[in-house]
Amino acid sequence: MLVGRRIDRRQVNSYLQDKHTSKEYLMNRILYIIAIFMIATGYVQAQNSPSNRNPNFFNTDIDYSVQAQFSIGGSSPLGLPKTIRKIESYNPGLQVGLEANATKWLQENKKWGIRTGIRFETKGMKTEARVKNYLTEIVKDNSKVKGYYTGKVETNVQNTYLTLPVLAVYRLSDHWNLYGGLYFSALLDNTFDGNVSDGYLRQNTPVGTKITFEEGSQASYDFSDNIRKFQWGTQLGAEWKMNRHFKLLSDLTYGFNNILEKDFTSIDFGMHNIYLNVGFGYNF
Amino acid sequence: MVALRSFQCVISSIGNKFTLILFFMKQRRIYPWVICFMLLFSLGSCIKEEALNAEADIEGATIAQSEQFLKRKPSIDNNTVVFPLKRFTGSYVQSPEFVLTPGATIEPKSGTQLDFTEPQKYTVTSEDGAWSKTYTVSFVIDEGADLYSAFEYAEVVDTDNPEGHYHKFYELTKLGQKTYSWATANDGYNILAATLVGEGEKLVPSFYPTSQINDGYIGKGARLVTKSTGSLGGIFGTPLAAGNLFLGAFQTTFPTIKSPHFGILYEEKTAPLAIKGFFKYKAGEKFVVNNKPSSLTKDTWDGYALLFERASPPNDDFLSGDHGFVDKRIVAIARVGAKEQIETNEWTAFSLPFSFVNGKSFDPNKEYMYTIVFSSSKEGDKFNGAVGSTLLIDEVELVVDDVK
Repeated sequence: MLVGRRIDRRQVNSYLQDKHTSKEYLMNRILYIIAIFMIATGYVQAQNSPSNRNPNFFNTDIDYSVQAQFSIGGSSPLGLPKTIRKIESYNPGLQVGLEANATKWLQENKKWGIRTGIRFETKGMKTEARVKNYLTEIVKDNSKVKGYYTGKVETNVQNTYLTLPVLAVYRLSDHWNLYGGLYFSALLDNTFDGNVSDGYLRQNTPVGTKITFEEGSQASYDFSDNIRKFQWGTQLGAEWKMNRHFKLLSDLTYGFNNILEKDFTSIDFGMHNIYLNVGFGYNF
Repeated sequence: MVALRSFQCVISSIGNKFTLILFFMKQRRIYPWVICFMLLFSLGSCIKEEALNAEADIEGATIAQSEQFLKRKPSIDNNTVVFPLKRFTGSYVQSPEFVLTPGATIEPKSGTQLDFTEPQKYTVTSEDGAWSKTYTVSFVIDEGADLYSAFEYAEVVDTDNPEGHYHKFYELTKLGQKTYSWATANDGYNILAATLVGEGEKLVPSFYPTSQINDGYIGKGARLVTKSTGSLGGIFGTPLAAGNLFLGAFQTTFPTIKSPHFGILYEEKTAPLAIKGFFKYKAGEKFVVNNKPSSLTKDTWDGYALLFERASPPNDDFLSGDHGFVDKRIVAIARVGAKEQIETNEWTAFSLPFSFVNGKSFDPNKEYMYTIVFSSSKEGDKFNGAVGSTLLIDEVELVVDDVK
């Protein structure tokens, strides 16, 4: 009884800690994802085990794999607009992705295959740029100040997506696969904010009232709620099979949509998610 | 040309990337990925040729022999240029020259001879041709500010972008020309004013922190009210706006304490003795401390005058809002104390004597400037105050010994 009660208390304490520290919360989230992978892995292994050798769609000419990736890239206009004069700093941050996928080979010789799966990924960056006559808007509670800004702009983007890739796979050689296709992403978590400083805003038009920001004084903006909830784009890459199980992979993803909503006008150019992903995977 | 350049930029980075992918396939190592990525980014980071300027400002203005004819440098704001003349030379025919935003053009051209008996309009067009702005340029005989201010004259400034309507005080010279010695922060409040109009309120001059009232102590007077700046104000780091009124100029700047440029020329031959005037004050209900520490628990007003030395350019002719009464250029201070900082519903006289500071004394051979400042919240510069605090001011006089 006594021992039992002690354990109970410890469990309660650890539960409370989990609830209250965000680091632990994040760890839990990661563990949760890993657990899903483990279950998927277990399922795949069960499918592949000799005791279950009835040939069917899910165990014939099909490869299952899990993979992890780091991403580096940004939400960038296609070709910088003229209003951006200089990128002073760029920090990709730590962007990770975890994916479980299945590749169904369409031919006996395993030349062509189709791959789909599910990927949990973060996309983000931090930039500092010098701009000239950059249209921006500072909005809060239905009131806004709009204008043309010349000076320093800091942008912080950090989004989490749940992504469904649909890819064609081409086996180049025993060691090399090329793959490409489309991906579809749903937004889970969103941040797009920043501030302007060391410059001036011309209110409404380039000849409007001049509002000067000096000595580190700044105005912040937050467009987090204007991030598009659904994204789709293309993915193109290659993987190198080290051996039967391990592989290294890399691909580029390019989002077809502007990352901000269609009716959003506070920034006068479109921004697309463009990322290079590098990772490793395990084939079952 | 621009398109070609950016096209080349893209092609070269794609070419580089392709080479690198080949390199990678041969080497089968990981680090080339990193280089590969950097090239990917070079694709996005091709800085385009700079666009032509879209602004259309008069940045500087002068006339030939300005030393001889101008009392001080012309004052320039977003839509007006005023040349202060030392004396009337028989005509207002002048050929002013302007420095513009690079690439911008002005019509009539810089250096054109015109008769400025009445103010003249100039149009400045930006380098890209897309924007233009009209300036009113005037020449005013500057007799020096009147030592007695009755706040009888105010014009309504109407702005379109954003919409705004607010008072700007002026005085009339003997020749009937307008001079603007008293400044307010209305210009800065106007950035947000249109967004702050609540139900049952109107965007009229009395909505602004500083406005003219009809029932002053004698004739008209000035009213200063501490206003909320709404949720946007917080973003700009200006949670409230105290009503203010001062001798000098206002240039909207963040941090806002840099916006007031205190001071006008002091042209008397002896030191000022005191400032006098009449006030009414009512503190707002809820005193809010946005920047600790605060020496107050209830809102109160402030009124003071400073005599200070003129310094060398470029910050020669003003003290910025952050002088803190300790600036080395300050010669003498007159300021309200506990006796005046009361709530009263009756017009109450105040008289504040100057005292010398920084071990300085008045030297008739030196150039001095002075300012008089009123605020509806004493700690308004730190955004500590009560919304609704109201200070009425009228018949302000700088007392100077008349013995010549």
